[in-house]
Order: sequence, then C-alpha cells, then structure tokens
Amino acid sequence: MKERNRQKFGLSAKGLIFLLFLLSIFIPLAQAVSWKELPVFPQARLIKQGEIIRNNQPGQMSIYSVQAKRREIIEFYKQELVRFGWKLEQELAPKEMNVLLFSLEGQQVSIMLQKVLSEMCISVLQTKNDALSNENNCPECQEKLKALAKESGTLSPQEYQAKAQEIYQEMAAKKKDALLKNDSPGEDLEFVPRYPKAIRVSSVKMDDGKKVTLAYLSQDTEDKIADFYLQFMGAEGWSLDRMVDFQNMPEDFLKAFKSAPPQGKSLIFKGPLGRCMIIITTNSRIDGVLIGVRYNAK
Amino acid sequence: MINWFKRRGQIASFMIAVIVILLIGLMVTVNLGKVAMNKTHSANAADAGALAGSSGYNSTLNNLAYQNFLMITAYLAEQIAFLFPMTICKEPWRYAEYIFYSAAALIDFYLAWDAGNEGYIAARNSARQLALVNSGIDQPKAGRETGESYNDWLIKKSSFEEYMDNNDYEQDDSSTIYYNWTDRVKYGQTGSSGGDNQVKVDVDGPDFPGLYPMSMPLVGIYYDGPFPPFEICGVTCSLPCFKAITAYANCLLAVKSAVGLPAAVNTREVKIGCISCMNWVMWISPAGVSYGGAIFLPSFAACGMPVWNIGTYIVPIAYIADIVEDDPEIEVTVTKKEPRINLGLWRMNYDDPSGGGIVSQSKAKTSGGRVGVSPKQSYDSYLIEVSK
Repeated sequence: MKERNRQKFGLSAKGLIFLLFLLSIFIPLAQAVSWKELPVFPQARLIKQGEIIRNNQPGQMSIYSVQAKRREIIEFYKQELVRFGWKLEQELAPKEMNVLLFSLEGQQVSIMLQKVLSEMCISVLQTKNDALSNENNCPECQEKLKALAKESGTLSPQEYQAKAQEIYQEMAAKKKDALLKNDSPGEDLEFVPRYPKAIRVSSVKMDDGKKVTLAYLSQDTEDKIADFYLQFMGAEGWSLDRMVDFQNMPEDFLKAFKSAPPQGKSLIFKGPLGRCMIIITTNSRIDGVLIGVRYNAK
Repeated sequence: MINWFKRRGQIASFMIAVIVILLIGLMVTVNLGKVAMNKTHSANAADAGALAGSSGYNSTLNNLAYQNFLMITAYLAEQIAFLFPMTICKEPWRYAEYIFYSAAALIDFYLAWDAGNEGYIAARNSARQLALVNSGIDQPKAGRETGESYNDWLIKKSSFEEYMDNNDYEQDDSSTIYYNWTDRVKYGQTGSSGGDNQVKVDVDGPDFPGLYPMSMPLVGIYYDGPFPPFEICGVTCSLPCFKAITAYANCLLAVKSAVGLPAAVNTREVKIGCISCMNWVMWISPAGVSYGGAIFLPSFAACGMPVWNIGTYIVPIAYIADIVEDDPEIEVTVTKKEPRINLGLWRMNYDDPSGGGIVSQSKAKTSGGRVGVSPKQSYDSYLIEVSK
C-alpha cells in the first residue's frame, strides 16, 4: 500500500515537475510580444532583423534592400498590408523618402523607404499602440484643449488661436522641464558606470542587448565627466583604447567636410565584454552636457 | 741523345692551356651565375615587394568596406529607432539622440579614416620589408668579441637581421631606402672581401587619399492628438475644425519655441479640403523649415484624427560615401649593387661604371572592391608589370 502510495506520489511529483517545466516555457512565451507576420517585398535582401527596445517600448525591426522602383514597393505594401487587414493611417513623403504608417489590432507598422546602398532600402518597424499611448502623456494639454473647444463657438478664430497657443506654450514648457528632470524609461548598463546625478534621456537596445545606446544629460563640466569615466571605467574591467577630442582632429580630416565638428570628446574603451564608446558633448539647444554611451558586445 | 719518338709532355702545355681556359670559363660561369642570381634576387624582391604592398592596400580597403557596411547598418538601425512614434513634446529626447548619433557617426568616420591612413603606410612598409627580405642580402654577423661565449655568438644577429627586426626600414619617411653591407669573408680569404654592397628599394605607392562623407537624414515620427476634441467634428465641417488645425500649427510653433527651436512654421502652400469632417486635412509644403541641420515638416493634421508628423534631422556624416581615389597602384624598384662580388675563390671586380646596379622593377594593383555607398569587400591585388 505504502509502495503504491509512493508510486502514486512519485508519479504526481514527476507530473508536477513536467508541468512546471512546461509552464517555465510557456509563461515567458505568453508574456513576449507576438508580432504579426508581415509580407516581404519579393526578392528583397534581409540586412538586419530582430527586436529593438527603445525607452522600454518593444519593437520588431526588419531592414531590407532591393533593386526595385519606389512606386512598386509602396504599392506592394499598400496592397498587401491592407489585404491582411492593416489600415493605412498615413502616408508621408519627405525629401527622397516615403513613410507609410499602418495599424491593426493594437499594433502599428512604420515602413520607410529610402535610397541607401545604391538600392532601395526598406526599414520596417512594428510597435504596439499601448506603447504609443504611454508616450502620448500630455493629459493636461488634452483637457485644457477640450475645454477650449467646448467654448469655441463663442470665440472668434483669433481669440481661439491665441488661447490655444497659450495652452500649448504652457504645456510645452512644463513638458520640457519634466523631460529633462526625470529619467526616460529604460535600463542602464550594469557594467558601465553612470555619471552621478545625470538624467537618462534615451535608451535603445538591439540584438538581445548586444548593442545598446544610452544618452544622459548632466549639468557638470565636460572635463569633470571625462575624468569620472577615465577613473571608474577601469573598475568595471574597461581599458581606454583611444581618446578623440573633436576640436583637435587632424586638419586634413577636418578639411574633408564643411560642417564644424561638435564640441567635446569621445573616450573609446575596450574590455572583455566588448567595446564601449563614451561621447561627452554640448550643443546650443541642450542645457547641459550630453553623455552618450554606445556599447557593442564582442 | 734525343729520342724524338719519346715526346713526353707534349700534351702538357695544351692541357695547361685547356685547364686555364676551363678555369676562366668556370670563373665566368660562376660569375655570370652570381650575376644571374643577383638579378633573380632583385626581381623576386621587386615582385614580392609590389605584391606585399598591394596586399596591404587590399586588406586596408576591404577593412574600410567592412567598416562602411557596419556604419551603414548602424545608420539604418538608428533610423529604425527614430521610427518609434513619440509626441512632439518629447522632441528634446530625440534631439539628444540625434546629437549623440551624429557625434558617434563622426567618430566612426574618423576612425575609418585613421585606419585607412595607417593601412596605407603599413602597405608601403610591407612592400619595403618584403623587398629587402627577398633581395638576397647575405650579411655575415660580426665575429666573436673578446670574452664572448660561443653560445652568445651563435644567438647574435647580423646587422641586417637587427635592422629588419627593429623595423628600421619604417623610420625613413622618404620613398627610397638604402641598405649597405659588406660581404662575408670565407674560405681563408684575407683582407677586405669587398664593401659598398647596396640594396636600394624605391616604393612608389599612394598616400591615403581620404574619404568622402555621406550626409543622411534621420526621420523621426511624431504622433499627436487628436487635436482638438473630436466631438465637434461630429456635427459639421465648421470653423472649429479649421480652428483646430490652426491651433495645431500653433502648437508646433509653441513647442518649438519652448524647446528652443526657431519659432517658424512654413505655411506657404496651405490646402484645406473638406472630404468629410473627420477628414479635414491641412497640407503644409514639404519644403518645411530648416534650422541648424534639422528640418521639420508639419505634414498632415486631421480634425478628430491622430496627427502624424515627421521631423527630419540631417546627420552631417552618417557613413562613407566613397574613397577619394580607388584602385591604388604600387611600384617597387629594387636596385642591387655588389661591385666586388666575392666568389669564394677570389675577388672579382665588376664595378658598374655608371654607378648603377642590377635593377628590377615591378608594379602591382589593387582593385575589384568598393568602399563607398554599396561596399564590397572583394578587393584583390595582382602584379600588372612583372620584373624580368
């Protein structure tokens, strides 16, 4: 009897283990974003494909290149995506480029065509709309505009315009303050020290974390920031491979292009994990010093 | 009494003459052989030098093509990151990304340029090295010094070996380098066995010509709205819709001004069409507004619908457009002078009255690949003029 019970118990334990094993596989799969399959333009050559995470928003990217006419590619995506139920939200055509925006069941596809590699390059990005709604977080702006719209019947166009402009200005100023005082969503790199009190303004992760770019904003001086990285990168196993000062680049190099080099410097580190470039730069439009971190795994 | 029938030794003088002639013939043959060997050495040296230099250009150009491929891929990946829609309020984040990417791409371009520069110098040095190694310099090492053990002497290197090991041939910035040495003393020869031996290597290869940068735009997608509330539009295509559109244009103005952009919106060609109230569309000329390398193109604004916009940011250097001069050629001339060739039997002089020597010249070319816009890592090197 005992033996029987043990057998019974043994079987159920095995079953439990098997169940846990199955759950450990399926739970992450269920949590992962399932991207809708997209048509590929015939004979397009895949250059790069994979997941991209920008400020914690997941996306699925594919880059193709193909020898074909721009119009043919546009028509292909318009026809094929619409056939699969996608709705064309917008078609934009800045200089020598085309952008098509589609949406379907909470997902969104941006398709961009441009001539690169002497061929047509098709960049496809799939994102989720909920991520978009997170981005669109100017609720006060919306509310004030709603209120203004309700009284629009009593206002002349000029008055309406003036009031709307006032709201936008106020919102934009608030937004700018908030933006540059708080971290944007994303993750830092564990093995690259973060400059104290710097605000993270951008984070992009690709190729399962093998390529990461981060941007921070600090109010300290360029030299102080550079000294910090020179001092603390070593503790994480990085060694300085090269330091390039933008203003001290060789003359023959600077002559090659007309635009003035940026201010600041770049520190290039090498380590057992790969290569890490730290760019410390300033710009007239940005209050503070921008710290860029670009990591490429080995 | 002379026995006329016993004329012994008659042949001796003949034999002596024959032996002398044979010896002279032998000397001439050996000498000619030595001269031929020197010619072979110099020819091999020129061929090897030209091919080595060309291989150096070849690997540099293939490396540049690969670097450019990586830069193009990085640009395309950055463009993908810019396609993530965001509200225009968060434009400062994107601008920071743009500034960072532009600086990073500039560094990549600079590193590629630097690698090209170093690669071209290394190619010429490689040509010198191979030419010298193959030129048949057989310099003896110095004799044992007083107190020097035999083992120490055995591991001691000749001046030429040290010259090569220390890469001294790289120190000379001029295109021509000279190596002078004296011949080995052997087989009990006495006195100087001849000096003034010289190998002259002249490498005529191009300096790194530079790279052309490719400026590219990064297009960022902006999503705003709907502005203003849509319920107004359900009634009629009326003024509020128009107001909404105007308000949106003003929103752009205000946001731009607040985040530090020049407050200007291009409204040259404003077309307003009423397809339906839900589809009020304002189209502003794609010429856009240009400021400090970035262009904003307010494009569509639809009443009651989300508003999509694009911001175009011009990256001054995204990747390599092309190399200034492609398909480099390298010419290597090796001149070998051994004015008093030591044959091991005795010294023979064959001073060249012109002061020249045995000259060999070889030319090699690198082509077949492409660094620029559509990079191809298929550069190959080959001799185009083989020395004879």
